[in-house]
Amino acid sequence: MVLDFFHSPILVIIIPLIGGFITPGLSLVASKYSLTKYRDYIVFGFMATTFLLILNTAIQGWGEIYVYPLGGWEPPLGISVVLDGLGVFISLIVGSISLLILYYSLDFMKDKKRLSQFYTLMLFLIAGMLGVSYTGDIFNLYVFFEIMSIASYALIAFYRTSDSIEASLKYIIIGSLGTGFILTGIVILYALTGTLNIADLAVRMSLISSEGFPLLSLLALGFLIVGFGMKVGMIPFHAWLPDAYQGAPIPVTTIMAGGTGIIGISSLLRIVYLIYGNGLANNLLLGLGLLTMIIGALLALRQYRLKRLLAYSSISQMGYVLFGLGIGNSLGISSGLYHMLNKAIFKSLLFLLAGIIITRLKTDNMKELGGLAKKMPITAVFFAVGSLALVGIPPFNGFVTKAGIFYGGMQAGYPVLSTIAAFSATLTVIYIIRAYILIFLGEPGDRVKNYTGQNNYKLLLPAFALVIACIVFGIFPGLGFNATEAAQEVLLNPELYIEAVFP
Amino acid sequence: MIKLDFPIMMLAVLIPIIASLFLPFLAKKIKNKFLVLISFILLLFPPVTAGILALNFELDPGILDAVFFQFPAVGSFSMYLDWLSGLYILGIGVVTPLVGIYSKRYMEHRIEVLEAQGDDAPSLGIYYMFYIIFSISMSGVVLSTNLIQFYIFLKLSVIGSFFLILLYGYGERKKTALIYLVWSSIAGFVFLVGSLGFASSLGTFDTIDLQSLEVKMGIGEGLHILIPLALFMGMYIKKAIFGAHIWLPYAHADAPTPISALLSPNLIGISGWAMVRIVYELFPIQFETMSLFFLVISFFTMMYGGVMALAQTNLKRLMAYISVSQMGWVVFGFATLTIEGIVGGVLLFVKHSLSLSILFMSAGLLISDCGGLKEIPDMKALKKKVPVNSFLMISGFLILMGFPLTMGFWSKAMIFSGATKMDFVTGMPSFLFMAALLLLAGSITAAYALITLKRILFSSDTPETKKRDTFKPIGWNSSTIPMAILAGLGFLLFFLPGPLLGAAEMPSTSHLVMEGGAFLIVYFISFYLYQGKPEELSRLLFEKFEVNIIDRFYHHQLGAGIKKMGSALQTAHNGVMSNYMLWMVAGFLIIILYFLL
Amino acid sequence: MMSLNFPVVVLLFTLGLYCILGKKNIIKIIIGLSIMTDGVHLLLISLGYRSEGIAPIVPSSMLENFSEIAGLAVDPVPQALVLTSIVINVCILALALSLAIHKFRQQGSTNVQDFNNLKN
Repeated sequence: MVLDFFHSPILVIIIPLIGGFITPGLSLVASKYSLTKYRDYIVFGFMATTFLLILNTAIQGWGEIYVYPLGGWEPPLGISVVLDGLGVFISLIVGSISLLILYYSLDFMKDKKRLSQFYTLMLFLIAGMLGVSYTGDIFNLYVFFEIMSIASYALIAFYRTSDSIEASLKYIIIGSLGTGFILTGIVILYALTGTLNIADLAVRMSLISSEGFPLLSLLALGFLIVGFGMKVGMIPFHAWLPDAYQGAPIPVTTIMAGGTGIIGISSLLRIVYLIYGNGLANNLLLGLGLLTMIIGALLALRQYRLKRLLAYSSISQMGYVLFGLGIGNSLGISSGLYHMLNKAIFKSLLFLLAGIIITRLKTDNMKELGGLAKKMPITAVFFAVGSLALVGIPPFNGFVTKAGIFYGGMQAGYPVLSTIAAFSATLTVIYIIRAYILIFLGEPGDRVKNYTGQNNYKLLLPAFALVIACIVFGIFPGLGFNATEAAQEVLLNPELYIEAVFP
Repeated sequence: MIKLDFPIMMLAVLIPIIASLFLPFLAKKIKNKFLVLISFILLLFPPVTAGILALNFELDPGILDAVFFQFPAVGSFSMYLDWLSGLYILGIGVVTPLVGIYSKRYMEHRIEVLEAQGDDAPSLGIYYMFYIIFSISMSGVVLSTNLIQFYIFLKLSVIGSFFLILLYGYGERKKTALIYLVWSSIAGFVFLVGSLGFASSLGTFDTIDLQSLEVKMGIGEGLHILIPLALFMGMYIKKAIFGAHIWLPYAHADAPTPISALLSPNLIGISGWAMVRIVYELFPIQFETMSLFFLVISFFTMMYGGVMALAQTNLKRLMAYISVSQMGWVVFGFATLTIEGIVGGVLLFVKHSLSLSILFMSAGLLISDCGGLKEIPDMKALKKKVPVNSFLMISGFLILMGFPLTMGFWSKAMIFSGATKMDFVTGMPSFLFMAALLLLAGSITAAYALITLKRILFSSDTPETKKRDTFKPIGWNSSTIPMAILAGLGFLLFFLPGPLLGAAEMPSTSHLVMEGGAFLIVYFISFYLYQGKPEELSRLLFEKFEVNIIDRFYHHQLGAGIKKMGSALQTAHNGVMSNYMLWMVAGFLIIILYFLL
Repeated sequence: MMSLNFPVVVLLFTLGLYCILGKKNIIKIIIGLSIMTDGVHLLLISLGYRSEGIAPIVPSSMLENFSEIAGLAVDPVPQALVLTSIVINVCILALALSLAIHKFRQQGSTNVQDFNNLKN
């Protein structure tokens, strides 16, 4: 396969990276001539270009696997960028969510200080995410993962308030522990196989493991699952997540809910399914997924802080994704991947709306809110759409994938687990409707009574785009299943990936 | 079977739902009168379409819409109208537009009251939007040909009614709305699990074969018993049969009255339809094995609901328990496994939706026009004070009891003859036993109907009630005329048994006379027997039991259990970092152990 | 000589982990983090070691002896990896320490038990 715009795969990663380095200098010039507005537009322009390039690669290379060797060094010697179904799917989600969030930040962050740092780190974060989804080299994956993580540590602390510093500090310690585990896992894999290329690793691992996996390789898998599971928010590696989400600025929270969690899952999938093959970790993913969805939902039941509630709900939704992926048949995997997309859509929607509510009313304690529906009717309607999509009410997108996950579980012979999972969906109803009642209905608190404000349509526009996406993906589930088909094929047939890298 | 080449029925369902989304915007521009007119026309879409189709084509074996949605893993969505769906459309489609007209005066009053209390009450436009979504999706449910399609419409109707209770209800309406939503979701998920199990064994969610155009009768014969059981239990919870009924009185009592009037057809209609169309037709053999259990539990539900109804002092709560009791009759009819019994169960739904909507609407009039009368002890001698309303209430109760000359009679008569034609009813003793059981249940119905009538209409004034006797008489207006139409229909349908009975044979005249006579005698005997003070007894026996044990178990123990688990988890998330890292390392050890073992 | 490396790696790793889990002082926790990753770096660099190996550089004049040199040379990949990893960990270390300074200025404490403002 030949791409029309040959260098676009690497440009997707390089443009935000270079953009990140240019931004500080650009801000110096811009602030000198008081043109900071244009600096923001240029940053948005970098992201828009990146998104167009992602679209270009996705449309041209749909359903095929394209290998782009960096510097002309053929794999396994050189580092290569591999555009398979999974990478393209993930990059599409991450790219579109990042684009929306940068658009939202243009207005949301405009009064804040030190914006050059914000945009620099944001571009690094995006570059890291796209790098992880495209790379074909496991150490390169680690490096991009660290770029993403470090950018997010710094972004969480961006406001430098007591809360955000604390959140960042907790996250940096636990996160570095996790990435240290990932590095250990990768080193052990290298010690066993002597290669870092993912396709080559898969080949050599299948040679080594012809008579059962050696102990060290299982140890490496354990280290890797811990590291990536941490980023996903999988129970029991989830504890940092509510703190970090609560302390972070809203655009960062949103990009972490809609972006980095997904990156964690995609990396986990690449390693578990491509290198170790389908079946080894399935029961583990099933069990942890089930735990994650139930415990996340139970914890969300008691929260009064809006961002924290949404954070626990994020954990719970990731449980469905893990459960779907752990099922291991094609319906389960494609529903799980599709649920990832849906989760990115409705979770980002809810966080963006939470951002609007929190900045307007200066609180995220739901006890102090109430009766907001009258003051902010559009926000109330959008939030209702987001909640219904989260719960999985039919015309919206959550239903299709949740039903698909349960259905896949039944097909694969886990009727009891699927039933438990279906019941945990009832908990979702309780916590999100409770939150909705606390925020939008009921007795208005003092803050709400005194609140007078105008809708800011610039902030509502990205939310509106996500509402449309909720409805479109709910009414036409075929769209999402077509998108996940290629990804699902690669995961179930690693030979396709290997053949594409070593033709 | 006739296959249409254009999805007419689907459009008749989808157009009103989509159009209703514009009503809140429209309501700002036009008068309430026109808003109601538009809603009425939208609500007429499904019944009129079904009526035209039924007149032009044969309802036996049925009419199938064109397929409008197809997806390999899901199957195809279409709409299917036959005798069974037709009767349900009749019940739903006649009641919902009339209740829609009725709601105008009632809701204007309700919104005024809410605004006077300082609550936010969304406008009438929003009310009609949710109302139309709620009622039209019920029609969508009973026309479904696919389990997923069924589930989608079911959820839509639950969402509509949830918002109506939440926004316009009485009492602790938020709590009630939440209870309603949670129980409905549980029912929905149980049903969904059953249908997923069905599809994972058979590879399709379709209940009608679109190639051979046949209902997939008995397709699930070889499947595991748990699958039909899950489907049935979902409907069982939705139907609020004994054991899962706790949420229903809350929902009925706290919902705005027009919605209470529709919750009955929703619960009884949809779930009854699903029991026949999905559980019985797809799994006849498994249904047979379960039928004895259902006979027993449904008989118990009839009696229990009746006795509980006797103990109530709140009129709407009383009617909620009447609903519980009547649902027992429906399931009893289905569980007899005879064509007569099933026809009787379906007719009971039509009767129930007519009569209970009349009763709820007249209870609503007492709230909106008579100074918020809700409690039965406050209602004395209403016959003199509100004659029109009393007349309608009497006819409602007559239809409910199944008095001869009302269509309710056919439903009870068919269930009776179905019960006496069951396989194990062979000799005289077993016949007498079944007859005695049904007459006993009928006597309870008569008791709560007649005694309630006596308590609120014909009792004499006490000094207290005389003092507050200031309300205006209710004349013929946009609230009472819809009720009168429904009552008239209830009487009229008695004389048209032919189309109602469908495939079932009409019992012989002597049989009917005998049944009617027996019921009448039992009614009068029971009226005199229960007239003393059995309310006290039943209150002592059951109210305590219900409130203290079941209520606590469901709403306190279960809720407290979840809360306890939540707080235990909460303490583990107390914000201390070293705890978090312990979680991580413990997880690592678990994972390594998993791989090693 | 090299056989000693692997026990040291395990020792460093567990020491770091113990520091992170057992210590309450944020500075000590960050030190533990650094020790842990150093252990991993040591493991990485030990993998590429070959006793009496030569530098893995092949001049163009000696390309025909490539396989011979490759047989003698140490593995160059871990050295590249460990350099990258060290840079990354310096980043993390600097960031974590600066956050700890901020936190100390705000709260006057380095004890992680005091850092629990974020909860429900």
